[in-house]
Amino acid sequence: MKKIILLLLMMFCLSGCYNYSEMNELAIISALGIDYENESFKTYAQVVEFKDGKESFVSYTSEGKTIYEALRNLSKYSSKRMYISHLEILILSETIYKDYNYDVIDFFSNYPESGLNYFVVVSQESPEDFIKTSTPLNTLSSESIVEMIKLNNKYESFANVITFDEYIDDYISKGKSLIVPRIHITDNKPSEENKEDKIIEIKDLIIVNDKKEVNYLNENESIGYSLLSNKGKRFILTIPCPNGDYTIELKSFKTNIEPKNNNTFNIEVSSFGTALSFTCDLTNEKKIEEFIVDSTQDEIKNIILETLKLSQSTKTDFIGLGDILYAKKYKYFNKIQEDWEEKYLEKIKFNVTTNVSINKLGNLKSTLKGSD
Amino acid sequence: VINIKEKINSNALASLVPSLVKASFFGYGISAIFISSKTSSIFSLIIGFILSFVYVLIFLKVYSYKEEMTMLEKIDYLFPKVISIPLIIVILITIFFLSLLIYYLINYFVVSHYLTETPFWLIGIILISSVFYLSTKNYEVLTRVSTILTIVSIVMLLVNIFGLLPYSEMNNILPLYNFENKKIVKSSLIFFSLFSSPLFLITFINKKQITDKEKVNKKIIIHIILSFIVTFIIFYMILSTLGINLIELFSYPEYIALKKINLNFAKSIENICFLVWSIFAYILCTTGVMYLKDSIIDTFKLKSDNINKIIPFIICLFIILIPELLFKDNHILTGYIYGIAPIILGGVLCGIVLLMFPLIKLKK
Repeated sequence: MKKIILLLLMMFCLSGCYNYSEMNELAIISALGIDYENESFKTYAQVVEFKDGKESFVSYTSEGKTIYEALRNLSKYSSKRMYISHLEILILSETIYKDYNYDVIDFFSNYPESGLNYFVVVSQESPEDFIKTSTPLNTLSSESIVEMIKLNNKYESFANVITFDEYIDDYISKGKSLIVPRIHITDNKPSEENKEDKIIEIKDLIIVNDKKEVNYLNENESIGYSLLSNKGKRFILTIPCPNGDYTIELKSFKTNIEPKNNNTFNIEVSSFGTALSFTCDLTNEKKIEEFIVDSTQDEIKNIILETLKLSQSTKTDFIGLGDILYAKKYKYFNKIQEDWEEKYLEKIKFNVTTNVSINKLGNLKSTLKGSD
Repeated sequence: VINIKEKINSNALASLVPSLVKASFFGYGISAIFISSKTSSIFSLIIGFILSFVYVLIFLKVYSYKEEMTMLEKIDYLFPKVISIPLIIVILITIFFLSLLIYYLINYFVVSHYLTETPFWLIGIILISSVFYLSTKNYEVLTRVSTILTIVSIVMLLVNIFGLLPYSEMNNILPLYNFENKKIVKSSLIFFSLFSSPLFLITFINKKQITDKEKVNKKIIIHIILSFIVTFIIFYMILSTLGINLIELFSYPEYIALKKINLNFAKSIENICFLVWSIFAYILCTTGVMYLKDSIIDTFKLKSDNINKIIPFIICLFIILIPELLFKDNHILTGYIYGIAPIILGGVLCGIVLLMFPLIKLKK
């Protein structure tokens, strides 16, 4: 009898969780856009929908005095509960990025359903444009942006993957400023089938300092940031040479930044490269390989110095030199951390050394142009 | 009624050690240590372990004294009645506090992170019913459950550690020494208190009841060292994965770190990975309830057919009711715990053992 009672009791325990939610009761948000207009937060949600085995989406918009209220208000328009556990990308408007980072971090790090691994980007246009857009290769723009950033990070290292936890870390850190990829939307050539297709482009990287001044990194500076932060897998440089250019693909790069003293940093970059695509005349050069190595090293050095110069001129430590000082010269940084970006960053001097090894020169013995 | 002739072997007893010493770090222990000494926590851990190791040697000496007596009987024997009775009461209250604390922390975590819509008491009933069931059984069942769960927890810890390795960055653990000696000492003491005090619970059984008692000291020491190595790796992985800024920001850095694990075939597995902490908490909570049950039955010489079930039922009922009635405001309790738990646990459970040691020397 006891066993029967026990079994009956177990039936109640094993039937499922209390207050459970079925999958079809949830509106799974894959992308969330946040903007600030007229003293209220606006949220734009891209909700994944499967119809007849095909992936599609529905977009919702709402607003509120706080992000939480705005997100809750989304339920006014949906018959399903908004669920952000599977969020893939968070799109912030420039206004939010400049002035309301605290609100974003406060909400998403507090909210139990929120993860930490989704990407953060800033949109040049309103986030609404990205949320409501269908892209040519992926129906969901969220999927498209995520794949694009991943791909870029793998092959070009122009845009960096910034996940939400890194975003929080950069925001809290006294020795590093925020840096996030910025995306831009343009019209695609309308096709017969889908005239509303848009192209989303990774525009550049956007930085903001303690004074809430926003600046942008150009392509070279973005590559410089990738190099200095050891992010990205490989990148491509096109370098001028006599009567033309050559392109080199650099990979396996490693950058070591060490403070020599309180005002000087030693930066060492090492990398392997594959030289491809020559359009230059190198017949006068004694050794092609030596020329390529020297010119590539010089180019990398210039890119790094250009990036560091931007960091100093904008008083924005997006590279995280302060963090390095904190780790290696703790006592000194503790004293100056409040004025680090404002007073001390611009006084830092850099000794940059680069070491590039060419492990492949492509299939040709020499350049075609030289043998003309 | 308690079976005082019940015997267990040294392996079974030692299998409790890894879960007991790690459980109380969950929720507030890890945060408290990191908040206090920041990246120098690595130093704090080492200093804390040296203190703990010295304590364990003293504890084993005390445990080996008068092998036929339980710890509470030894207190009664060593101290005059006027002191021993209040001391025993304080110890029992502290062990109750430890069980309550672990129950509360794990429940609070589940309510705030997993099942946000579910009432606190409902989750509590599910957890405490399994604690109650196990605590009505004998020691052999407890140690067998503990051995199985320890093996499960080792597998889970390995998954967690290997899952976090790609996200681990050496720079995050720097600076190793931040010159804040007072804070390093403070967090070393917190570590010592949380690591060493739950060891008191293994004295639920006297040394004579261990079949191969000559091996038990060695096995406990080995388990303590292994547990420290695992604890050190856990701390290292959390620090190197999250960095000190994020650790200071979140209430459960151990859980937040697990959120980063992304296996190719499975995403968002932090909730499964986190079960390892529930296992530690479950064993600690059950051992605490069993200790209280046996001590109460033994002290008051209670004899009844169902006493073995009634006492744990009452203890479990109190464990459920106290947070419901007294600590409705979670923040007050958690804030309070941060300050007092290590002091109470270390002060009472370790303090008494350290007090007994010179008395034993004198008696000898």
